[in-house]
Amino acid sequence: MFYLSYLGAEVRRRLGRTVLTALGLAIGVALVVAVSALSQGLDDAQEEVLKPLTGLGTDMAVARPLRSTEDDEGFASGIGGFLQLSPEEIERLQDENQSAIVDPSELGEPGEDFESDIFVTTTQLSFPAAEVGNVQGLEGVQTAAGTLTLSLLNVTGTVPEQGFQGGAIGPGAAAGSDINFDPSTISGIDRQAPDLGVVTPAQVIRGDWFDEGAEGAAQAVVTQGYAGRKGVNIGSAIPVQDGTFEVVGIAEPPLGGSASDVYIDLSRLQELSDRVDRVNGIQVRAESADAVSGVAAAIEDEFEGATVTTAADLADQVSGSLLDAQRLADNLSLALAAVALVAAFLIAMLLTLTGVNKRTRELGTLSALGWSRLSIVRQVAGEAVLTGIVGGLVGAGLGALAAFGLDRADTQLTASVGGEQANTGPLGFGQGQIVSGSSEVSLGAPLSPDIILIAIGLAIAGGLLAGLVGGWRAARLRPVDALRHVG
Amino acid sequence: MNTPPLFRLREVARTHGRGPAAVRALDGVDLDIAAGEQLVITGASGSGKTTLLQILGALDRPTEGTVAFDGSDIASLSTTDLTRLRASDFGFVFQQFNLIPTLSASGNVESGLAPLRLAKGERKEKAMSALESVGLGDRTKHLPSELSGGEQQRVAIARALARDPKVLLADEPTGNLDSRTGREVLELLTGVARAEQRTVILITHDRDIAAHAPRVLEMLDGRIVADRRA
Ligand SMILES: Nc1ncnc2c1ncn2[C@@H]1O[C@H](COP(=O)(O)OP(=O)(O)O)[C@@H](O)[C@H]1O
Ligand SMILES: [Mg+2]
Repeated sequence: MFYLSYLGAEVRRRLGRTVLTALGLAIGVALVVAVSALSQGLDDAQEEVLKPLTGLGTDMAVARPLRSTEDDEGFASGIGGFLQLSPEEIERLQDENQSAIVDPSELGEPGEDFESDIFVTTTQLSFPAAEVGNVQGLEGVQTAAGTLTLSLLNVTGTVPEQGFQGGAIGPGAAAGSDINFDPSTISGIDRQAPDLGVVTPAQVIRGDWFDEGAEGAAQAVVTQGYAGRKGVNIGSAIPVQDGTFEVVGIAEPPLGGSASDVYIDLSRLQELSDRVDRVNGIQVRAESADAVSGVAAAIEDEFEGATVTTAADLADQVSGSLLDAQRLADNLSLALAAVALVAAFLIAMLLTLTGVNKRTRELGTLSALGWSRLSIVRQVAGEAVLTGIVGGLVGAGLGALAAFGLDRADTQLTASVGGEQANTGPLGFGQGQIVSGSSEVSLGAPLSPDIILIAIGLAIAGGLLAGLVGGWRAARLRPVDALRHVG
Repeated sequence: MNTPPLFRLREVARTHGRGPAAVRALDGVDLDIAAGEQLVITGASGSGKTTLLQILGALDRPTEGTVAFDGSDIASLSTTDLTRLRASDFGFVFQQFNLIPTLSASGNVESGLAPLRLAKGERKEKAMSALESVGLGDRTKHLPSELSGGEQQRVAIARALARDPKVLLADEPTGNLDSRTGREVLELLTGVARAEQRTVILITHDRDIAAHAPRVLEMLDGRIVADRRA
């Protein structure tokens, strides 16, 4: 077909116009590709940050928090904080914390050194393990696992002389005496439900998860921070009251998730802390993401005093440059890409239109030679579409290159979970301390086939638009212009 | 033998625009042209020569009067039918050559053959022999910009003749050429036409050509004021 060789000749020989049109479209399409990839990268980054919360199956955490008000100093305020509680709650808490109130005379002779581990309930009250079964039975719940998280006070010092004020020691009465309190947190987890615990196998960055069998009962997983602080490593033995546990794994807790310092088998912790058949947290996995809010409501309904924290609640607390970047990507960059694309389309249309106007004499001549209107329109539109497709493919390539570059640049973004709110209260996922502060996540710009397909679609659309405009203009040319038009 | 004329124009008028600004470019033209005739149209600038040629060449329609070509009225034909008629029966040569700048000499000739929907081989063959007949057999791959003005106009003539049209129409084909080259081009045009018994309608200011033409029309203000036969 002559049409095709003519088309090729036009596109090749009017290189300036072809390149300009193609480049305009290319830049528009490239921006769309790069911004889409970047946006995808930001989504991925957020998902990575939140993965421990959202990805590994723990959809929500149930706790029965102490209803304290303005307890903004967390556990450090100790029993003093209880003054703000109702008498009923204080009594319940004191019951549980009997072991924390120690008669110094039981520690040994005055003047002797002593060391003792005391378990203290955190701000989450315990409840019978049977509640786990109740939650498990609710509609929409796939699995539920109980956990027990306690504060472990390692008390060391010298047994005081008789007549020591109050006759009892506790974390709130330490001032001035020769006694040191070293608090840490410990969680007992259901080894039968590894993915549903407050620490999961995926969080173990060194070593292993608990042995599934009997050996696991004597094993411990500790968090990275604790390991560093205490000089503990894989294989170390850590004493917990009357028991000794071998450290088998070091875990990195998720940002925004809860972290205890030490994790051991739930039954062992229950025995050691004298809380047989008691737990103070339930990790729940819903059957589907849609079921989460329904299940959460049902649990709060059924279970007096319970607070349910969902993964989404935690995601809301994440802030930092990751979110800033995401907001930027969602708003500004996409708008920028859209504007660039529209501009590119307009430029392509305008250049095609100018091209047709400049070729008035040429196209009029073709008409005079007996070219039908259809074949002239087809000629002009074909050139524009071809140019558009070339531009789009170049743009897709450029965009892919830019995305690849962004990917390689390995930009670090931070995600933070902030301060007071996260350190206290019932917001924790599980019952340990919420991991606050920030974590770095590297920003990628993955290219999906979808993006490439969209880019090619946009290019063809741009070409078609330009072709439509050019063809429309060409169709209005008259053969007399072949003789009249000067230019 | 009394064959009917190839063209028969009666009271043909062509008005451009409307109202007070309207220009009556043709104002009552009666004209018969026989097949195989070689006609030269002269006249001052703005006298209506191009307008007449456009109507003869089925590029334009008159606003008044009748135009019969080969026995049928073409003044009332649709745009599509006029286009078909141009493709099958007319060849044009323009003052500014009107070659397509991105196509080679043979590509340009082929562009004139495109509406005939020939097979590729036949199209190329015809283009080649048309270029040879105008003495450009060795310039077929050249772009217009790589050819001299005279060569470009010869490509245009090849483009018009390759289609083997009944009528060859040329509007000041030498207007953009120096006189020597112009003379050569005109000789080519008339020579080729004469040999093939083609009807040729040629607008020119060249008095020399007009003096040697078998028939000369002179126009003034949209009218034919003289119709001389040699
Ligand atoms: N499209 C047009 N619109 C308005 N006036 C026109 C148009 N075409 C030609 N004319 C006018 O018609 C008259 C005849 O023009 P034309 O046929 O080109 O004359 P010539 O070829 O003899 O110089 C001129 O006055 C010209 O200005
Ligand atoms: Mg003229």
